[in-house]
Amino acid sequence: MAEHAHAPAAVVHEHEEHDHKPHGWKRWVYATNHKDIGTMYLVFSGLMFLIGGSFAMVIRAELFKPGMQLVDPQLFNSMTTMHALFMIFGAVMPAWTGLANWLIPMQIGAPDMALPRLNNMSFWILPFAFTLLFCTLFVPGGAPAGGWTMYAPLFVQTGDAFPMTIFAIHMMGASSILGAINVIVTIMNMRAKGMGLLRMPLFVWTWLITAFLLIAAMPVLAGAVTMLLTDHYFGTTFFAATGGGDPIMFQHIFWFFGHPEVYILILPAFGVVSEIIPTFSRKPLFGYETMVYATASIGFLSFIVWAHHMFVTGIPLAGQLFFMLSTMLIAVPTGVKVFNWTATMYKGSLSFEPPMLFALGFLFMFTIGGFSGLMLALVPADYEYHGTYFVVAHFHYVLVPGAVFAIMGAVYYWLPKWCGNMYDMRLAKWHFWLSAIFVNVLFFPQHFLGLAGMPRRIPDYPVQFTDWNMVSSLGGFAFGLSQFLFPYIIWKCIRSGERATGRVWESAHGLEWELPSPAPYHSWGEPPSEALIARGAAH
Amino acid sequence: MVSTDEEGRRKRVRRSALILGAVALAFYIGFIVMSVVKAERGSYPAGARPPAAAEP
Repeated sequence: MAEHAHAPAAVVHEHEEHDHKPHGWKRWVYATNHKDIGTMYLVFSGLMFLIGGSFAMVIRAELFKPGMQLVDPQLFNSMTTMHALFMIFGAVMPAWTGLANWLIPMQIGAPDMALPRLNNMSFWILPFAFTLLFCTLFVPGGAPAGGWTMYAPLFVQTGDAFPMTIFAIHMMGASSILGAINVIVTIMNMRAKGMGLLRMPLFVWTWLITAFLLIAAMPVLAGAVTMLLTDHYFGTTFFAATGGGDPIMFQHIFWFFGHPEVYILILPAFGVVSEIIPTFSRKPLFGYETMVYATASIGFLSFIVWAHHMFVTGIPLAGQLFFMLSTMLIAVPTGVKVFNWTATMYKGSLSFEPPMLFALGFLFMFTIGGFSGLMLALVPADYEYHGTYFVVAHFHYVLVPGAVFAIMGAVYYWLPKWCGNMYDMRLAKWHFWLSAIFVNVLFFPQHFLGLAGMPRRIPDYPVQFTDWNMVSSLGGFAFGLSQFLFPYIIWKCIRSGERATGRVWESAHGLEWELPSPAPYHSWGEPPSEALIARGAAH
Repeated sequence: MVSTDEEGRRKRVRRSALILGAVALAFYIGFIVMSVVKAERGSYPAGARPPAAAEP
């Protein structure tokens, strides 16, 4: 599959002359190089996956059989809350930011991000935020247990962890907003001459739209939690009915952030899959421009669907109809994407290297999550499904074989470019198949549990739910164990492995593949030529 | 020596970063202000009254 690099002389020259990098701890603490910061984001994300995953193991161990066995109900609810906060804000979002840091400058022909010091700050806020959040496990009253949605008035009753959680969320939000500003400014101002907007790789496009969503959505979350803080400490009653406030208003504000957040987690995955499928189909992406417009449509629609999370709160019928129909409308651009990926593969010369396997896993299983999302969009059906394990199954299908598989596929796709070595393909395929099998054993039975009426966020349940919970837990343990293959494969690849060529995959298109492998510490000091850009933008 | 092109780009970078920061700040403050305005007006539309409390 691999072939020789086509690195231009200027690039090779730059690689030889300017590959100086600082050494020791200063390289990381004072990092301004986009590749170093990208690496730190990805390592941080991996650590958060481990911690968030261990919280999930506690949840599945407790739910293995009915009755209380391992943890008390308060700690169980803390585990569900912390699992979500760590996975969403600590694992998936930083993983995308890490990939954006590594790839966007290389893909648009820029020497670095536009604001490197801001980039450093965006990253270094995160370890402080998550250390603070992690420490809530050890304070009186325990870690937050009101769910990641932090609904008032329940969440305001959190103990000493309350201000720590609010501060941590503010820091995560600030980090995301600064990162998003950097991405937009970089894409709009740092593109090489000849790299027009409609020549950019889909990963860059999806990240550009994601960054706009972040700018509009994250401050809303910050506003919501600021008001929770003033309700708790300063005597305001924004969300307290006793003082004339409105708890439902919190839900409106939260979900105005929360639904775009779902697309913040998944849009870059669309970009990754749009890069991988053409490479391993040996065909250009079908319908590049429609992919761009579909992504923009999804971004816009994500801001007018939020109340589908709130059908059971008693919103007026007109509101229910509007939000039901606008939610179903999202299926149109999403369907365009799935169609285009399928059409790209049609009559292609397919091969099934690990990145393609993960992309295909994404395609099939994300679609399952999309269909259950359509079911939840129907008001009368949602009255039955709301607050059950069906919802848990739905969003885990979107986020695990959706976002997480795309992240793993992206790492397998670009890892040889980053470290200059090929990885163990056989082990990586094992990693895919174990993940794909056990992720279904873990989450598919949760559909049945939800349809049978099992509520979410409970540590105990009636005995009729036992069998599928046992299956789900076994799937969870096996899925968790199989993930240890991933860091091992990466570690092994970094230390040794067959040397990767510049292009790595014979049909890969894009400026990053015009650089040697490993990518030089400072790339595109000399902007790429228009001919090189035209060759890269062969979509 | 910084070229005119480079200087122009730096200005554009600075300006667009500040504009985006201002947009983010506007969303943050805007949603809090909207909530304050709504709290001033109460949970019911203008002219509507909350249902009377049931007599014991």
